[in-house]
Amino acid sequence: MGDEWRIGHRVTRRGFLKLAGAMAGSALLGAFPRLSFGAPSRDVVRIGVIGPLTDFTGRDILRAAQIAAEEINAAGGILGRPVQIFPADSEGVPEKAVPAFQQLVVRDRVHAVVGGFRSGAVLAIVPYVPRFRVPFIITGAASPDIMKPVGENYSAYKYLFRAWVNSTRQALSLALVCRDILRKQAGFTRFALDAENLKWARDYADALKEKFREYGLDLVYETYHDPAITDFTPIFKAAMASKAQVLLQVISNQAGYIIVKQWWDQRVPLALVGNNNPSYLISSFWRDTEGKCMYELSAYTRAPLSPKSLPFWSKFERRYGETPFYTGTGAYDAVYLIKTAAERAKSLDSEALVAALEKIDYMGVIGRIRFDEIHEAITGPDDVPVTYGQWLGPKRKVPIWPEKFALAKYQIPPWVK
Amino acid sequence: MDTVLSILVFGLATSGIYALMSVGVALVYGVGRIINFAHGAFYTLGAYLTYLYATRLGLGWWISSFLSIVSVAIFAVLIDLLLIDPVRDDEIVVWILTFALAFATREALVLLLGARPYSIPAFAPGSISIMGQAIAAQRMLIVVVSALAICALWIFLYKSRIGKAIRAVALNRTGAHLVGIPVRMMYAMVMAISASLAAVAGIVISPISVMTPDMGLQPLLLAFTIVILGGIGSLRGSLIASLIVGYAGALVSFLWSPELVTLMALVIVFAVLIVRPTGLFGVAVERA
Repeated sequence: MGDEWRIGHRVTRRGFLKLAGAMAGSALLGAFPRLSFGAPSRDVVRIGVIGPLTDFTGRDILRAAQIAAEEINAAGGILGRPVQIFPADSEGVPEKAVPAFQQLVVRDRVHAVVGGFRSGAVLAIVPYVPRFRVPFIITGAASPDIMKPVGENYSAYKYLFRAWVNSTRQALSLALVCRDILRKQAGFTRFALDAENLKWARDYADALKEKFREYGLDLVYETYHDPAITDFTPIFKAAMASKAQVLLQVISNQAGYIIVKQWWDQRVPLALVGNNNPSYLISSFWRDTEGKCMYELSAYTRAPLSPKSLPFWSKFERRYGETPFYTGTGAYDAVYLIKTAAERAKSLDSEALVAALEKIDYMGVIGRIRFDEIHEAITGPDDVPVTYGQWLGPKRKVPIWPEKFALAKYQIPPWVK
Repeated sequence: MDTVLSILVFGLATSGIYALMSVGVALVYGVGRIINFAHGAFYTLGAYLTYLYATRLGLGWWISSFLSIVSVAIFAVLIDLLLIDPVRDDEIVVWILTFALAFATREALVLLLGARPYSIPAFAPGSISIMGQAIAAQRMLIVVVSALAICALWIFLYKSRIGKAIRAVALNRTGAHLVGIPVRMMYAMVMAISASLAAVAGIVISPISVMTPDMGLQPLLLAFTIVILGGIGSLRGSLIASLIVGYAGALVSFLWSPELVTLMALVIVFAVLIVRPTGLFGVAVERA
């Protein structure tokens, strides 16, 4: 081998050992968060939790599932057997999600799996569902494509359920907010759309635009940003140049903090409305944005969707000092869905669980949960609603929509004409 | 006019952050011959330590920032003396080592503080009205702080005895050693300066952005891009390349789409490297 292949100095034995040590060290560091302990027992009901567990989106899936498991165990378990939660970190990316799911099914031999966040990660798991045949109740990922296989090849994919609202139906909710609150009440007629350039957000934007056409709403500007964006100023300027009055945001990551802070700092003369996942963190978003989220109107807030909603929120907040992210509220219900289905079926067999879940009618924290023919939770004010709240003070994201849960009228930010 | 002013301010603030990051990378390479993948970790630590000093120790935000910069500098010196120095001549080992350090910092932050975003309040709160347009005061502060930091670095390198010694090491390590310059200490000094600049960048950007364990990754990649464009090891080249990339990014963002900024930076780099493979000021060692 010629010298041209050498980089720098000759690699000596000592150098090689150092290199190997450094690589082993970094590999160990990478593996550390994924270590889990405890062998599966045949006497327990094993429920897998999957999600990006070091991130709040996945962390709250685990926290809420643990609360549910503790409550169920205190009340006698499922079919008289205690519940045990098995976590697996998907890191929210496809290449980690598949081995994490395999770990739950093959090593931990779970009876069912709950959670899943980031549509890309969950879509990577979907092809493995027919092979593993374990019920998987999704409580985070929102792409409608995830559930399509249930309709296309029912017998293979019937194990998939979603106890949350898909992005198409979330978009429908935003379109209704634009029609009923922003146009009818506030008098806004021109809307701009800024969505992150991710699959779920693209799906969301497509569905939103369709509803806008149906409702005669005027979308004057649309753009899609890199999820790693750090400055929204050019988007604000372009939206303003298009004479928009409202900026609709579709954001699921930390950019949700950035847009709110920059919107406030620059007193951008656009009402800020939409889907902003960090704004779902009711207990901390105000603090983390220094109150700059004031007047933002966005999806998901604490509201009495069922008699179970507020007690769960309070319990979660007492225990963890924070309110639950939406993936958590769904995961709490998902564990109870498994309990209810197992007790109706009197079995933990996958086929029996699926059959029972299809017939379920359960009042949970996120509302009344029933599944349609492709196993999506039925949505709407009387089923699983999408709520919209406006920030009007610290920890005060006041429900504004749907009317059934509204506690205040929408307030136009004072600097928006 | 509105757009022109936006591009001016936006471009200058962005260039300032790029300059703080890329000059540090160029300095460490120019003097120590090290490609430091942990440079983004200094940026991240600068912001996180400021937050921790202020919220856990109850110190003021300005004092916390100062302590954070000092802490990051000490951390960088320790890394240089204890970890890098023993393997300095093995380039591959240094690459892996600094990469592992960056990774370890990220993992440590996730384990200790979780992956949730944190925030630093604006050092310059509110907004400034320029020609009827509201511009966040923090953004103007970024411009001022970046300019002051770069000027201070220049004065230090070209006017002080230590600065001259650092440049001597960059020119000829053996020669510097023979005339009695403590070469090893100069490497550590350069690492401290470089890390401090990165920490300053992380601190001033956080109030208008957000802190996450991964926040250093994108600035690190952009810093390497800029250093390649400016000519590896050239401080002047890095500074000018920062302005080019910063303003080109502002133009693309405001006139087309912010999504095209990274692509645009790479197109500029490819174009320059085709015409001038050593970069704009391409010399192995800064001689200006």
